[in-house]
This record gives sequence, C-alpha cells and structure tokens, in this order.
Amino acid sequence: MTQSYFHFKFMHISMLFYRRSVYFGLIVTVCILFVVWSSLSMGVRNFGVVDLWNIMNGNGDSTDQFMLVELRVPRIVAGLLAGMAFGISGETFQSLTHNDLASPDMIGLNAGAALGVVAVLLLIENPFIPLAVGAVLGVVVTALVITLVSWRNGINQTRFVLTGIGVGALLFAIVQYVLLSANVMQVAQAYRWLIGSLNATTACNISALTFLVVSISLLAFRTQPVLALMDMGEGVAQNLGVHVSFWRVLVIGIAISATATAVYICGPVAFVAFASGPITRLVIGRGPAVFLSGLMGAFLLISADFVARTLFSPIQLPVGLITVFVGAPFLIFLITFQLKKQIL
Amino acid sequence: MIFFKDHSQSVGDGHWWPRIIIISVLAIGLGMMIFAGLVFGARELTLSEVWNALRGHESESIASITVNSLRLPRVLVGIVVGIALAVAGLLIQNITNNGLADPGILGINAGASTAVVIGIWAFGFSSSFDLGWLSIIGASVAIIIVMLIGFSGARHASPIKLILAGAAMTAIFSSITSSILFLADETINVFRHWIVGSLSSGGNTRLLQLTGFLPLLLIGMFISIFVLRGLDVLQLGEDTALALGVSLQQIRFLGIVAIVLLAASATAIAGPIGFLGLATPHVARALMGASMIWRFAACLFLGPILLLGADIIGRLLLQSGEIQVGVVIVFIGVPVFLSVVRYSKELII
Repeated sequence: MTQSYFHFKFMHISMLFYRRSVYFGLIVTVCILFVVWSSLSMGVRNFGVVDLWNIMNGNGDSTDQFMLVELRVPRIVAGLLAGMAFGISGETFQSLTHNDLASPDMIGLNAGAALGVVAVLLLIENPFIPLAVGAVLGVVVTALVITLVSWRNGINQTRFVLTGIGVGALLFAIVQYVLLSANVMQVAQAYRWLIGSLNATTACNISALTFLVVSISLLAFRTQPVLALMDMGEGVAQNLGVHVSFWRVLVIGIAISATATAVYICGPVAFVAFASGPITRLVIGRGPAVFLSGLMGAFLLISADFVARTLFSPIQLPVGLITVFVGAPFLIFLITFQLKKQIL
Repeated sequence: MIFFKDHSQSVGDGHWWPRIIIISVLAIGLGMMIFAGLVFGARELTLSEVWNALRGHESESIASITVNSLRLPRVLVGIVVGIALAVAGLLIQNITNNGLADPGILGINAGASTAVVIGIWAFGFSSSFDLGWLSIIGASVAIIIVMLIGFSGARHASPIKLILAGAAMTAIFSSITSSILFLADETINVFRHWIVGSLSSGGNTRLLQLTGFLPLLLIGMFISIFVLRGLDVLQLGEDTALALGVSLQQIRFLGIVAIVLLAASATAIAGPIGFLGLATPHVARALMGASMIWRFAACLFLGPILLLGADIIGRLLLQSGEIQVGVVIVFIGVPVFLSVVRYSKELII
C-alpha cells in the first residue's frame, strides 16, 4: 500500500496522496497549460512564442496588446474558472448520489437556469439586469425547491435525483409556454444564451470570480475524504464518526454554489459537469475525486472553447455547441458500458 | 393461451360489481366532460344551442359553426389522444415495472422534438402532417434506445436506471435541438408552436391528422389488448410469469411496439404532452386495484377525462387566448410524479 501513495510531511501536517491521482493531476495541468498557450497564440491573429512574450511584457503594438490582454486572457481565465466549478459540481452531485447520471445538467438545474433567463428577458424586461443573474437565481431556487420537496427525514439520494427530474420537467414546460408569447428576437436570444458560451466573459468581474472558485475548490478539497467515507455507504460513514447529515447539506451547498458560479460565467454549458467526474474516475481507477474532476472540467471547457473559437474562425461558435457533440457520444458510451457494471 | 382465460380471476381480484359502478361513473364523467368541452370556451354557449348544433339544426348559425368545426374536432382529438397516452402509460409502467415511467419522461417527446427540428431546418417542412411523421420517427428512435439501455446489463431493468436513461436521452436530444435552433433562427418560430402540446386546431388540421394516424392507433390498441393478460401475470414477478407460461420476450416486444405506436401517434397528432401517461395509471390503480384489465378499462375513460379537463381549464384560465393543454397537464402530472417519488416504498434504497 505504501508504494501506491506519496507521504507528504511538513511540520505537524502529514498527508497521503494516491500516486495515480498525483500523476493524473500533473498530466492534466500540463495539458491545461498547453491548451492555454495554444488559445493565447491562435485565433483571428496568430502569435509566435517570441511575439507572445513581447506582447505580454508590454512591448507590442496596441491592437495586439488589446486582443491578447483584454480579450483572450480574460476569456481563458473565465473558461478555467467555469470549467473548474462545473467539474466540482458534477463530481460532488455524482458521488453524493452514487450515480454517474446525476449531474446538475440532468437533475433539472439547467431548467431552473432557463426559467431564470426567460424571466429576466421577458417578464422583467430591464436591460440592466444581466441574464446571468436570472440564471443564478434560477439555479439556486430550483436546487432549494428540489431539496425541500425531496426532504423527508433527511435527503435520500434517489429521491433527490428523481425529484430533480420531475421539477425540471415542470420548469421546462413553463419556459416553453412563456416563450410562446415572446417575439422571435427574444426567443432567439434566450435559446442562444441557454447553449452557453464564453463570448461575453469580458464583462465578468474576474478577480471576484477567482476568489469564489478558489474558495469553493478548497472547500471541495476538504470534503473529499468525507465523501470517500460516505461512498462506502452512509451507515458505514456514520459508524466511522462522520456527521452524515451535516456533511450532506454542506456538500449539496458546495455543489449548488459551484453550479451557480459556472452558469453565471458561461451559461448552462451541457455535459462538462457530467463528463469530468466519470473521466477522472476512469483514469485513476477510484473515486470520489472532486479536486481532480475540477481540473478535468477546466481542461474540457477551455479545450472545447479553443475548438469553438478557431474551428470556423473568424466566426466564434458558442462553446456549448462543441460540448454537446463531444459529450453526447460519451454519455451514450457511459450508459451502455459503465452502467452495466453498476447495480443502479 | 393466457389471453383467453376467465377474466374474473385476474390478479388482486375482488367483486366485479363495484368496478362496474366505477366504470359507469367514469363514463358519465366523460360524457359531462365532452359536453363541457363543447359548452365552455372563449364564447360560452347554452346547452340548447350546443344540442341544436349537434343535431344539425340551424347549420349556418355561429353556435353551430363553433360547435361543429371548432369544439367538436377538439373534443374528438382530446378523447383519442387521451386514450392513447393513458394506455401507453399503463403499458410502459407495467413493462418496466416502474411507477414513474411515462412516454414523455422516457425521452419520447425529446426524440420527437429533435426529429421535428431537423425536418423544419433541413427540409423546410412546416405542414403538421409532415411534422407528425417526423415525430413518429423521432419518438420511436428515442424510446427504442432508452429501452435498450434500460434492459441491458442487469437482468431486471431497474426503475431508476430507466428513468435516468430517459433523462439522459432527453438531455442529448434537447442539446441537439438547441444547437440546431442556434444555427437557424427562423426554425424557432415553427418549432416553439409545435413543442407546446395542444388540442386546438387551425381549421381541421388536427382532425385530419387524427384520421391519418388512426390506423397506427388502432393497431396499437389491438396489440395492447392482446398483451394485457400477459402483463397482468407479469405483475407477479418475472419468475412466476415464466412458470405460468408467459413468454417474456414476446410480451415485452409486443408491449413496446404498442407503446411506440400509441405514444408516437399521440405526439404526432397533438404535439408533446407529458405526464398524462404517468398520472392516469396511478389514478386507475387507486380506483380499480392491481388488475390490468380493469385498469385498462378505467384508463379508457380517465385519460380523456384528464386531458379534456386540462384543456378546459387552460381555456378558462385566461381572459383572452388559452394555456395549451401540454402545459396544464404538466401541472397536474408533476405533483403525482413527486408524490410517487416521495411516498413509494420500493424507491427508498
């Protein structure tokens, strides 16, 4: 056993790190750096390494400077943050419910975001309220409603997921009805926002979001050992001294705030939250891996955005379009091959 | 063959006469619902006006035109679609052994939507008959995939696995749908009117569609009557059913064919209407007990009653215009779904 772990000791702190997790984390980080470098240098205008270095240090012409510092860097950072948050939210929901299919996109939170967006767009009609605010409110309220409706002497995972599906269907019907009475432009705008994209991230307050995502990640990192215990069955975890009901509420809180943050940044991009957890667990061979799933989510989202930005350049596709066409086949693969092993 | 056995000895059987009374009450209820569907609306008619219009007197009067060319088609469509969805729901819940199954939840509506969007976008279809055929194709593809996933792997298809497979396919299909809608703004306009299930008809289009898809519906009904006895025995468990001589494969295959025919043609006629197939069998069970044959009989009346009722509510709630029946029915169906989730003993794992 000792060989498969790194033992980290520093003053009073002693930690064990699973070797494969560490390697996986390093590899994903390298991949992320590579994609970041590619997205910095490629696009409408391509830069070489030397150019890139000069511009970043402030010695370039002002158009390039603007393009890089004002457009590409914020977009990449926002993509990293949103991807991280998506990965964390997906993995926490999935490990909490012991169910790979129970990511936020499946259990009705996206329908909540959609309703929030449509409400802001059509019912309030105040151009100064960004659609993202509606989406976040939608996600949070939906999550609370699902939690409350499924609460019966505590949260039961299955009940939580199924209630989410039911509530999602209800909200979706409302959205469709509201869209009937809107004019075509507004409907198109709503649909466009609901695919999710990083095109409008320059307006986000990057530093505040960074703070938010970093604190969510740290909290998620802290919950990981508890989740690992709860993964063995909540009775077992209870016997081992875990305050199960407290941690469950905390973990759900983390998952909801991560989802809300990600949706705020780039809209309800499909399949990133869903795919990062299972991919991570497939590679390292064990779960739950909240932090690594966050890294994976960041990698997936910025790679997809890189493709979306450069595939038909100068036309920028929304990133949600790319994740759908990559994520859907993966979902089918996962359902047919992975679920066979699990007794759901 | 089990189909020809004595009907009075079905599963969970008691006396037959209370059920006959319930069926008669339901029939009276359906009659009242039909009449209400003819009377209420943007322009309220008196009973005598409706009666005269139905008998063909004063065929030029406004009342007669309203009844015969607007409300009567609507009621007829409501009856047929209600029966089809209720029976499809009953079969699907029985075959999957799952109180939460519903054609809509299992991905039929999303599949149909995707096919319809592709048709509007790529081939420029807009007539409701073409869209109907497309939705039949999409719905069949969706439910076949979900069933394949649900019955693969473990021997017993677990309820939760099926629901999640349905939710996953819904996610996939609606992602594809929204991607196409992103690429083509003008598609949205046709699509958003289709996606909200409705009984109202521009002219007689829905009635024409009804007659067009009637053969499929009739075949579906015939098959479902044929498999009813087998499904009744299946409720005792797969092993018992096998021991009693039911061919599981045959029953399931035929049952799924019937579900596809019924649910897909209902979607083709009225657009996606979710949750009717979920709620009706539960009400039928509460009234009739577990026997499939009695529940089937109850569903024949309950489905139209619920659908027409939702349609009337949707017409009366707004002063001008109407709330489409697909939206109203969700508000009736989701509480049933949630209460099943909350109070069902089998689901607590």
